[in-house]
Amino acid sequence: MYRGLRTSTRNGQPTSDDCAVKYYFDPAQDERVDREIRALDGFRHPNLANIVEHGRISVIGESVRYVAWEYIDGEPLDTRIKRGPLPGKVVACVARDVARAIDHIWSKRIVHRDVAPKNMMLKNGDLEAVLIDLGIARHLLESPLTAPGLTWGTHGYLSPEQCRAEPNLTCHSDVFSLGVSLQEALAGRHPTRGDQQTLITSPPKTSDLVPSSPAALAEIIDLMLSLRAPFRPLPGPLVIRFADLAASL
Amino acid sequence: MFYYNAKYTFALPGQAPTAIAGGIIPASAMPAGQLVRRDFRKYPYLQHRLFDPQLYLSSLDPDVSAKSVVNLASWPWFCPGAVPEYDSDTHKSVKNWKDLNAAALLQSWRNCVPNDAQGIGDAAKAAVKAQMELGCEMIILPGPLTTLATQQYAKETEWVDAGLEACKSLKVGIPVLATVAISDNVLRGLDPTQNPLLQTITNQLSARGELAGAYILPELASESGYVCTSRETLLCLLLLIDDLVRGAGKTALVNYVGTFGAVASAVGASVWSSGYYRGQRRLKLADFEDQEGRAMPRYHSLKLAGDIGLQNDIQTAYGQFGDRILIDTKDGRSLIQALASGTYPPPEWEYSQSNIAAAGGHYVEIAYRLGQIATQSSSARIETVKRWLEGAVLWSSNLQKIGITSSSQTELTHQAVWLNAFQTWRSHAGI
Repeated sequence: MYRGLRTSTRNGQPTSDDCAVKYYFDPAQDERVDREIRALDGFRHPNLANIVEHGRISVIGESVRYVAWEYIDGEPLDTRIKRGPLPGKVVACVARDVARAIDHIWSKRIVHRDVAPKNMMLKNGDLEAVLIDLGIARHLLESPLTAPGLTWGTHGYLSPEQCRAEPNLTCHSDVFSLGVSLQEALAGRHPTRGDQQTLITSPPKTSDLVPSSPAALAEIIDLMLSLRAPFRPLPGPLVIRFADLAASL
Repeated sequence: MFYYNAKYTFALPGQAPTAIAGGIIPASAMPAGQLVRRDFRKYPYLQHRLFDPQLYLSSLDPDVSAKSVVNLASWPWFCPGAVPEYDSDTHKSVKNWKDLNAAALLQSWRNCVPNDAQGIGDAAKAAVKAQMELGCEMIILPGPLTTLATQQYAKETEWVDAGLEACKSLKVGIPVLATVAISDNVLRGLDPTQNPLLQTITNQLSARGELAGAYILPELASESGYVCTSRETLLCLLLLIDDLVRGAGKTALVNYVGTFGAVASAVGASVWSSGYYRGQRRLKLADFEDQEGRAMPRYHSLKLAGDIGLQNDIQTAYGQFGDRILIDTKDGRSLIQALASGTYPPPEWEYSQSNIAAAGGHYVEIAYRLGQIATQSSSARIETVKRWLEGAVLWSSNLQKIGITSSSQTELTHQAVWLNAFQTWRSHAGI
């Protein structure tokens, strides 16, 4: 992902905006990228990085596909966590906004599949968050491009369903990954220090990990980490619960 | 709650209780044009009615299941526009309409279930619209029969989403249920607690906030009797219900599992449905084949959780245990009296073709009584069902000890399987 400058003419005046550009050098990725564009082009949501442009450019004589995303002027959550644990209120704000983004894409039956701190941008004094990089998101109705038995996502944040390489994931999977990310934000470190297997067999209780965490917040996060997908809360109700918590903490 | 699984004649058999909570009308019961003209007010239980679009029957062979196929094909989600709708002015009687159009309906049946997005959307909308017009209390979205575990439930979820879209466009304001129709072929032989298909189903359905729940029916392709005897199939059913109800806070309705519906109720199903005839107690595609045979009376024992043969076994059982294995119902009273006075069988329980009014009323009264456990607390329901099944296992053993064997009339093998499935669910759920 590169930071780029997008120039255009608006009302007869030249303008330029920052954008985040992703190049896809591997022609084998073309179909996946096409899908990503089809699914996300036209999406407008304040908690999602939106596509602003896509096409092909020539790089050393090779035609390369690119997608330009709205540039989010903020700090990735993983970078922020390196400076120490986040307060409960900030965690609730991040949770509210990312749950809102997951809810929105799921209303189009799209699953992000890579919800992790590196893909959450904090803005506005850490009180707002944007979910970025829907590069491996998949629309439910489309056949999987991933070979059977393989899965996408970031190790350490995968849901039990992703680990089983289930092809038709749902928003439950993104909710699980968000739960892991929230625990990490509260603790200032990955809840199992990167051990994926423990996460999908006996995820730690939030209150054990961070005894000082607000009880209501810990309770919701623990539900998000339920090993059986139906027992996890849906993103829509989560938005409401986290918004209430963000206001009260 | 117990809902009566209605047939063509909506009237309840014998002296079955009229206070039954509701009914489910299957699309195969009669042609569309006839059902929309039926007066539901005459049947108290149908004041709370559901309509099952039965899309899962789309693979019926019109050559051997002509009667059912003609009825099903008259509904627009199967064969839209295949023939003119029944019109009383034009056709005078449903029989005339059938005589005129049966051949065309049978001809149009093959491959008429849509497979493309537009066709699925139109079919789903037609099924939702029909249920709104019939005044149903909930919408059952049409769904295909799951016969392959390898297809990741993708086609089924396509139908669910098409149905939800239809509900949105038709501004449906009542609860919406997805149909979960699964062949037991994909449930048997696998540990239900590790069955990936089950996990996919509950994952997909629970992720759809617009769904109130699911209408669940196992297709008992592998069963020959009236009851399900597969521990895996029954445990799968209980796990599905548990994940949807306790996990996702949704509603579960169950049909075609006989009085095992009471076990489903203890696990969290809000409605279960059954009826006297085999085709009301179980779902098996082969049962839809045109047959000339007539039903024989069967005595259902609540305590045994199964039937006892009327030809010989009931007298043997009575001789040893008296009326302890029988239960007093309005229709069953004459049977107990006849056994006690040595005048068995009374005419209404005589083992002869179609003499099923008393047996039917007796079965429905038992189902109604079992349905009353829905009024108990969750823990009381579980305890009631546990005691009931433990008692049934004991009675099965007692009957075998006096030489009664399992047969097509007397059911003695499933009780231990039902109890095992229930206890395994309890252990799995930590309840």
